[in-house]
Amino acid sequence: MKPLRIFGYCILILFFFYELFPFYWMFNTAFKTRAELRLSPHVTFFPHNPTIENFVVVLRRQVTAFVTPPIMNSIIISLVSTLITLILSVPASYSLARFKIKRSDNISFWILSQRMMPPIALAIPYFIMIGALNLLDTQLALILVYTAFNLPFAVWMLKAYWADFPWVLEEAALTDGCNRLQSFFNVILPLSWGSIATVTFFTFIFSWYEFLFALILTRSRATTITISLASSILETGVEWGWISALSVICTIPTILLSIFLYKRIISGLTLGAIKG
Amino acid sequence: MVSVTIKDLTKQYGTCVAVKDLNLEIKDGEFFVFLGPSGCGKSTTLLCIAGLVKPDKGEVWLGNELVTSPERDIYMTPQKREVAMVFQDYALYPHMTVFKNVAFPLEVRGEDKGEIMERVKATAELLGISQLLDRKPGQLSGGQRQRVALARAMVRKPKVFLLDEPLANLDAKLRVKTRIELKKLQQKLGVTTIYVTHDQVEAMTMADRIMVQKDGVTEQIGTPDELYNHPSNLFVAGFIGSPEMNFIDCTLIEEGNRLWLDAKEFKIPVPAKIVPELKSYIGEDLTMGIRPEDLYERESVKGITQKNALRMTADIIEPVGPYLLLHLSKGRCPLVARVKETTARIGQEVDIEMDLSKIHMFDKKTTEAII
Repeated sequence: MKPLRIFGYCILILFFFYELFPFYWMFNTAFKTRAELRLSPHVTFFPHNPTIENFVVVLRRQVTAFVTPPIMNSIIISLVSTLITLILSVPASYSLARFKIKRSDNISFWILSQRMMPPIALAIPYFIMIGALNLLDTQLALILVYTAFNLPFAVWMLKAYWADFPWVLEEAALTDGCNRLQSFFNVILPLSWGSIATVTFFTFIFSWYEFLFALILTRSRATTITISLASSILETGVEWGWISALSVICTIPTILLSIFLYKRIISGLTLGAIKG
Repeated sequence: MVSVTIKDLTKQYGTCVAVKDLNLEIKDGEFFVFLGPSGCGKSTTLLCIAGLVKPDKGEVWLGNELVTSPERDIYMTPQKREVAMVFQDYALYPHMTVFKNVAFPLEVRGEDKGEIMERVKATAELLGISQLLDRKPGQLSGGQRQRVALARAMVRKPKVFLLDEPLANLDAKLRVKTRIELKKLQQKLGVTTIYVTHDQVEAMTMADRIMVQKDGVTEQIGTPDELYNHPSNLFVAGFIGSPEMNFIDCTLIEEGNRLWLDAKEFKIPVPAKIVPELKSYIGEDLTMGIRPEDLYERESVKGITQKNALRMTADIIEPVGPYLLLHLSKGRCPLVARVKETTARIGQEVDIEMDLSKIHMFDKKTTEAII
């Protein structure tokens, strides 16, 4: 093996550990007992007495410490906001990419400009607006905010994909007897699942892990899983076991989603690579 | 099967005129070819007929039905036009099998499943793609894809076939083979066919009639024979024929009661037959055209009615198989002759005879043909 190649592998292995160590540590901590975490003078790399106690406690707390279980709120808010983002962004990006619309570049830039401000700059205006709508501490508030925040990303991502789309396929579908809607659903959409899966994935992840808006716009009824994570910092100290167990639970949907969408995401990331 | 009529069709993209004031009538069952270099507006015309591009003005009629007229605010969608199109890169749906691709136009129309199966199978058999029905387009060769695209167009028995350079992506051998098959198929089906190409050989071999376009303007409409033997201007004369027609710039002069074409390097007597047409051009600059096959080496001249010898230098001799191309020059005047055999050697002088009954004359200013 050439030295350069060996060096390359070394870098890769280092990077691998660097990336995965936090995950490993999260799992390691989640299965440790409270005693091991608090009392052991040494850092332990494996739980001495593996236990699921932390999981039981955090799941129980989901019901006892909050009005609605935050995990349920997170699932509902993330799914609905992702769904609305897709329903709006797919036709919007298709229209921007496909049709000659007056000032379409300006419209696109305006959409993107929504993401140019740091989220904290939007926090107060959102708080006032959501308050005025009497929606503070509701799932709908976060659904609206997340959708507004995700839409620009989704529209631009799909617009970039459709910029390279072989539109001759749509023309073929039109001459084959389709109307625009039929050609969209029969030809364009089936060829675009990769990009749509990618957008779905990133949109869902954003909504699932979002903290700032959830903190500002919710109190008890609509708190999300990230807020419940933070609530494990008690007056008596930081409950690392709880935090780790909840973090493990928190990563499960994203891991499942990435496994489910993996192939499509890979094809979606090679945007526009449709071959006949 | 219907006729296709186009009246005053104009389409502009920004400041670029793609088609200008096109008038055309394609007969029922005709094989009609739009021929011209890239960007001449032939594909735009085809897309206007298909309904995929809306013209700025003019009318498109399919039979007795007006399908496009911006002035009268009439626009029939491609879906309702009953025209089928084959695209240059075939535009097969990559996510569907060959069967699904061919069946697609029928499925969209909500045809009965049994009927779809029957018609797809019959069409596949006609085009020799029955064994490919389960494959995806990505697994097919260029020739096979082309057949699938044709099958998809044919399966629903359209009124008009629109073919946009369907052979452009095939290799030379397959192109010749498919050309013949396509022509046979069209004769068998008798469907009005409009075929777009920039390849004049394709146009000449397949078409009943050809329209030559340049920069959005129609240069000439006629049968292959008319275009070849009676080109209406310099562009058509140069575009049709391979190798292309020789052009010699000359001045028409009168000397000793005879008319001569003075090309500086040499003088050619004007044949008596065309003197009346040329008389009004005395003293003017003209362009003489003669096709390479109407030039002969003196040794091999037989049965030419009117001839005139030129002594020229052989620059290059190109063997093309059944014939040779002699690239000749005299001073600044180059000529290409197509001969069966030659005694000439490169750099040597050779006597070339011109069949003067076959010359074409063009007005240099207007580029229009005089005879």
